[in-house]
Amino acid sequence: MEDEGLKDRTEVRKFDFLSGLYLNLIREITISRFKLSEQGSLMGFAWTLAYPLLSTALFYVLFAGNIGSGISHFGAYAFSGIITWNLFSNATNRGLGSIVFMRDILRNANIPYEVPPISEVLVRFIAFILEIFALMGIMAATGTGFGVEIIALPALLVLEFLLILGISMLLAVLNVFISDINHIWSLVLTMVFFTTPVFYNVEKIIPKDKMWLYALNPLANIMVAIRDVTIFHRWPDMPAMAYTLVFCTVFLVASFKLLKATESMMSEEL
Amino acid sequence: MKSLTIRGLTKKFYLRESKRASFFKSLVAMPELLRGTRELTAIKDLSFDLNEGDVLGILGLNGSGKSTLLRLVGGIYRPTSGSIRIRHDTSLMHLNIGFNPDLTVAENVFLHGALLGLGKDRLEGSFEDIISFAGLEAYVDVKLKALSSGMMTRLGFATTIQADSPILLLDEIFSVGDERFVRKCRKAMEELADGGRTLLLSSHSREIVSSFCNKALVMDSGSQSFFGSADEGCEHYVNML
Repeated sequence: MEDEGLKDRTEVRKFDFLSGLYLNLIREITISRFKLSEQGSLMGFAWTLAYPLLSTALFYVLFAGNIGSGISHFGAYAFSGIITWNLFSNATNRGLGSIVFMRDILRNANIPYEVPPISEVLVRFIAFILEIFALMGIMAATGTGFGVEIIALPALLVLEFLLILGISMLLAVLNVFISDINHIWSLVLTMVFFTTPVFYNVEKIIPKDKMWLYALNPLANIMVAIRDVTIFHRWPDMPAMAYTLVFCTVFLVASFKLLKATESMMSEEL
Repeated sequence: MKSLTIRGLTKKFYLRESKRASFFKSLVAMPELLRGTRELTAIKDLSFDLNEGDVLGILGLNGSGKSTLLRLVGGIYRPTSGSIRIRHDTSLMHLNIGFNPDLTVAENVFLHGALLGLGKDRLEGSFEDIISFAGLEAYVDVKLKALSSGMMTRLGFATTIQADSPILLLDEIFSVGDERFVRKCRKAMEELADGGRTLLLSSHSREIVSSFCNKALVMDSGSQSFFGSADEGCEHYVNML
């Protein structure tokens, strides 16, 4: 047969999941987006760092004596909260717009639709890794010191990456079909900000009998755990981490499946 | 040997009043939003075969379905009915896809190459050839926005022909570019076809099709008006106008 070896179009793809070409594509898009972002230069990163440093100074003056009282090393505490929050807020916002932003490419190249949100989240994560080093500088300068528990930090960063990626994929898909999803997400972010201990002492603010409700927020669990292993030299709360891992994994898998199921619809919508 | 077979290919789009409805409108009008309000048949019952080494010119007026057909073969759209069968993945080249004016020429080559499915090693190995083909030796570290549209097209074409795909889809690539560049492209395309690649080239221009292609597909409002030799196809296109 002359046409032996021909396969249906849908069965033939260049970018098999996690193949070399797939990873190279993510790498090149991430590098180009990073170079184009404000963080792509030393001065750009310095400006990015200026925001959490200024916020920390402000929170120290305003809250260290009241809702932040009882927290040792409040400066490092607030800084870690602000950078973890900024990562979540900025990366999900970047992820939300990622597919629509890359519409010209997606209309003309057969690339997997998860690549834009993955790249956008990675761009913000690169800056976050640098911010983590700034946190360590603050810890060294303020005498917080370093415990052995800090070895758990990379695992917590992976956990936050999974959480952000899952949310970003879902938002990126919704943004293709719904024009005001960015406004809705801004409202959600405002609510999440106040239910995450960015600058206050959880034990002081949340009643003990309501603490279980608070623990349902995976970002709050990750933020608390990051502080535990960096500032407070203790291991994270394992049941909370187990719940957070299950939440992040299930959410990411569900978002990924939704994205793959709607790829064809999105290609016509863009 | 056959490289592409298309049978009864049809593509319908379900259009809505407006794209990207608001959240509340989406909730209220969900069934309508999912289904769409108006049906548009962009491609109707296309059937043809191409062999290795064929260069197909797709002729048609604006809105005749040329780009939609290339996107279907490129795997960007799914057919509503019918089939597309290929051996290996395709590379679709549209003018300067993925190019960013604020990145340098070199950075754009690597980004554009990655979108075409070229690995980093492969691109590094052919980087000098790409730059030399595009005639941009003096502009490697210059930001793309400093280049003319003709220079960008040269860079896009030079990178695309490096793609390993046995089927290349070229969408209106000669709308920009001077005589010398068109001659260079013709030579490069002949070499690709001699090497067994299959090329699909959409164009408004019968001059381009008659000089570059051995086969032609003439499309009229999404339907296949003619499929056969390039010369006959051009004649058919002129009579159709």
